Amino acid sequence: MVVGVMGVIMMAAPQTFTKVYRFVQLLTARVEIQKNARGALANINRDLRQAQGDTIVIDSLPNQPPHSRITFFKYSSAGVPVLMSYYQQGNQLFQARGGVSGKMIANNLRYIAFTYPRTDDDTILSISITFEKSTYEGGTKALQMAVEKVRIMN
Amino acid sequence: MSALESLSRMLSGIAGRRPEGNLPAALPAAPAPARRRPGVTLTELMVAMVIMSVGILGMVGAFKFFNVGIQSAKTRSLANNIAQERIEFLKNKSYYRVLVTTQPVSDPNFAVGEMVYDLAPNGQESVNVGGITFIRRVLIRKVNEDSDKKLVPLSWDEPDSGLKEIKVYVVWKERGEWRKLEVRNLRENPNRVNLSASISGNVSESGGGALEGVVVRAQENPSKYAETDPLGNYSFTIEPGTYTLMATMDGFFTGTRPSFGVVSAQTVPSQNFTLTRMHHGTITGTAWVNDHLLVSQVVGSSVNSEGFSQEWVEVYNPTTWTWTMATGLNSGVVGLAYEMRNRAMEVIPLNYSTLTVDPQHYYLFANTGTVRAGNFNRQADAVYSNSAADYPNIIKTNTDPGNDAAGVAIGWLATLTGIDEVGWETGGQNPPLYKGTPIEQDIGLELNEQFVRKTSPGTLMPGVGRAYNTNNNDNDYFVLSLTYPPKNSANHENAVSGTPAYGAVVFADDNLSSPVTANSAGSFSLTNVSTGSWTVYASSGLNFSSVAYYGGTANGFSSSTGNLFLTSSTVYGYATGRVTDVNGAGLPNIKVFSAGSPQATTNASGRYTLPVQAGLVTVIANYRNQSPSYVEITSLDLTVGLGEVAKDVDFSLYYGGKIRGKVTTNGTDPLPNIPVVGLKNGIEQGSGISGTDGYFTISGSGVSTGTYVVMPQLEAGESASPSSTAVEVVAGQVAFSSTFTVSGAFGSVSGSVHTGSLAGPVITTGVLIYVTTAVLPPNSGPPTITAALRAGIVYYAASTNALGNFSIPVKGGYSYNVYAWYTSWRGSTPTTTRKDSTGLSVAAAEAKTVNFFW
Repeated sequence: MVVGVMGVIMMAAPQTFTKVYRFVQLLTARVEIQKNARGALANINRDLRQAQGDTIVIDSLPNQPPHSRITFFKYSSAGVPVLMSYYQQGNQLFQARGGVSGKMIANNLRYIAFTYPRTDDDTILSISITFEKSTYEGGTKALQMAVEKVRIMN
Repeated sequence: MSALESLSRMLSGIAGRRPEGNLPAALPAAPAPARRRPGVTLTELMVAMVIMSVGILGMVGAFKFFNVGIQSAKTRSLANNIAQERIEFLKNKSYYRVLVTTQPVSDPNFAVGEMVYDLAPNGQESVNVGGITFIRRVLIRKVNEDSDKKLVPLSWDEPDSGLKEIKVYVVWKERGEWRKLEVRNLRENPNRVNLSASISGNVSESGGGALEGVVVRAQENPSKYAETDPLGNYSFTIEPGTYTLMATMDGFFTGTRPSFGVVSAQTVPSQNFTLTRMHHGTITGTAWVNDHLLVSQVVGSSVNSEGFSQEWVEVYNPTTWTWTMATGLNSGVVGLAYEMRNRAMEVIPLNYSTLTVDPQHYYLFANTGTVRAGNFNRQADAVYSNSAADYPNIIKTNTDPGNDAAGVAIGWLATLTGIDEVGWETGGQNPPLYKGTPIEQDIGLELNEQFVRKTSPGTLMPGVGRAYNTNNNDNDYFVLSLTYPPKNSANHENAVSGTPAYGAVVFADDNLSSPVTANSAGSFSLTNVSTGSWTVYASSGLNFSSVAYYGGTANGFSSSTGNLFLTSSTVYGYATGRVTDVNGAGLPNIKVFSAGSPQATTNASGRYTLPVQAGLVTVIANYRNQSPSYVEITSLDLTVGLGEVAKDVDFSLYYGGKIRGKVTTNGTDPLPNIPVVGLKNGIEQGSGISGTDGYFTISGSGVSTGTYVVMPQLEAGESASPSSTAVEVVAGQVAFSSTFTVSGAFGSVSGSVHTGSLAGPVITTGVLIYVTTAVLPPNSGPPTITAALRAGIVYYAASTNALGNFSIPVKGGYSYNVYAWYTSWRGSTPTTTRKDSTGLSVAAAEAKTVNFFW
């Protein structure tokens, strides 16, 4: 009986520990990508609302996913328009200000696309963004947040 | 010798060393004490194992909860994404194309009022993600801010408030329980009109002074109201428009003022009321429930003139409907049973010669075809079959050997469920069948003795139905020497009592009294009833009754309704009130309606009592403009319980009509789903949506008489000819506005994206979709979007959502090319592949589908 009980314990313990470990991994991944997503979207939204509509250019860096970069001038408190850019490079999202090289503002980026729902209306711009993080044994946790409508105010 | 062997020998030497030297033989060596071996005993090991097992089992149990927690969090996260997506989709529409819910329904899987959703025009949809089926619903309502800055929902047919509340629900089933997630948002009309006008006035009592606490409300926009101050003054701000005011206060007749117009920045003063106080009195009465057959007489043995020992059971029908007792001679529906203590119940086989029993009539079961009692001969309606055990002496009396406490019952033969029963004691022993307390008897049912049900409390009046029933046999029956001959299906007697309707809600449709409940004897006293003619209602929740009643003219009157019989079954609550015109005159024959219940019509004085479904309801007066001269008005939300009443749901209708028109693509072909609004003084007073035939109708509380500007609500890029028309609405008529021709109207391109094949898993991480009339070079990316490009050919674009779907509105009447780019990753290196679908023709209002896979 002792051997049997020990056997059951020995059989169950690794599986239990593995699942607990996976659970913690999953929670960590979820928290991280949610933090990334919210932060990135807040940044982009705020800047885009202040953008000069006719300066917006959507393209991508070489060998990066299509329409994963947006460049525009936005009004600043100093009264001088500032060149802003958000772009994807690999799995990272960068923010560039004033034409200098960008700083990384989020990682684990899987997909970002800037689109006009219709290009004859440049007051509405849509952002779709997906973050993804590996958790365990090749498993991933993805979170997609789509902002359908950013109104360009200028 | 190895080091290991040396160590082993050394250890064994220590362990097995004996004392050295020669010891006397007479001194035998003392027995060596039991050695304490190192390690643990079996018992210790077992205890440890038990403790560890408990711990491990606890961990396994905890793991289950971890798992449930993970799954639950994951499901909620998915539901949140699904809800958020719908919110964004709705926010992406123009204000007027966010369609307000016109058919709200409740989901019975949730508590009352917790899940009210849109059945039309938005509907619900089923979404399967990760093997979980979610139901996505919306509820879109016009809302207004009240004076406390709280949002007040308005009916869909009321004028536009400039603010819509969007609720998206996602519903799913988890471990057998329904769960929901709710996301809310507000959508504001960019052209919203501010509260720039105001209305003020004073309210006083007829022959008295100022009245404080009177609510003065704009009928066209019930969320705009004010209460009078101690000086009787009131004032509130409102959007410019035409309004009818109503002043209400408990104890006073409602006052109204005719419609008047108010424009921006204008203050309309002196909208004064003089209210008349109601005189009141008291109405008393007794409420009875009569909803089933009753055993009205039992005789165990009576020797007739021919020496035959006859027995019978008489049944009375106090209800208002005919009961079917049998469908043929030997095909009983309602049967008779007898059961003695410590014996099995016997369902008596019968031959039915009468198949039904009419309201307020009797039915006679007997062991002989003709019962002879005194000077009466009664034909039995159903006679015992001679196949019955102990036939013909089934109901035993004190002269029968083995007699004991017993009872008889009538009931449904198909299910063997009882309808009514009566039992009697013998020697202090209870019978197996009885209600409340059995009839008290020392030696049981005696020869030539009868149990006769009372006609009312304490009385047995000839010519009156034997219907008194407190569900207590000892209280409900007289025990008599054979005096009252039995009655059969030919005998009719009206009941003056029944089962006391204990707890029944009793109310009058006046404006003053409050509902009361009947006591255990069924009696009620309705106080503070206004003078005048009213209807008094009684409802037990299952049964319902009403009686027209004149309440008297003098203040302090007191009168009685007598008996109220609750005989109509009900599954409703009730709303009562009055419908008047703007001058306060009662409007007769106005249809009043609440979803899920039958319509009602106002009486000659404009009063109505409407059955409504229990729960959160709204009442609509002049439903669907059935009286075309007046507008349709919807009440605020009411909460009504089963069998309960919501009083004083009053309406003041003003003259109005309808506006009709058509939306087309070319003057002939219909263009459905285009919202069209009717504006009066720049304020939307009503809206309609073009149907599949292109026609729309604007009606509702806002469409009073007057001049309206009718205007289709278009998306950017669309245009209408004419852009608007002006029509004159005349009371009771349908004004045709125009046939609008919309050019540049949109269709849509929708679809889904998958891996492997079109039936493969959806891509949830995002695919870029472009729809354009331009032709892109093979395998290229989308063009760089610049200001110059935006001035040229139009590109429509979107990313697929978390469900792998996309829907892109595009201008109708063109042939489009659809391009899709999907990016896969190896580490941080992307690989993007394009898929095309070219030459897709999309007409206005047409929805085309294109799916892709990689």
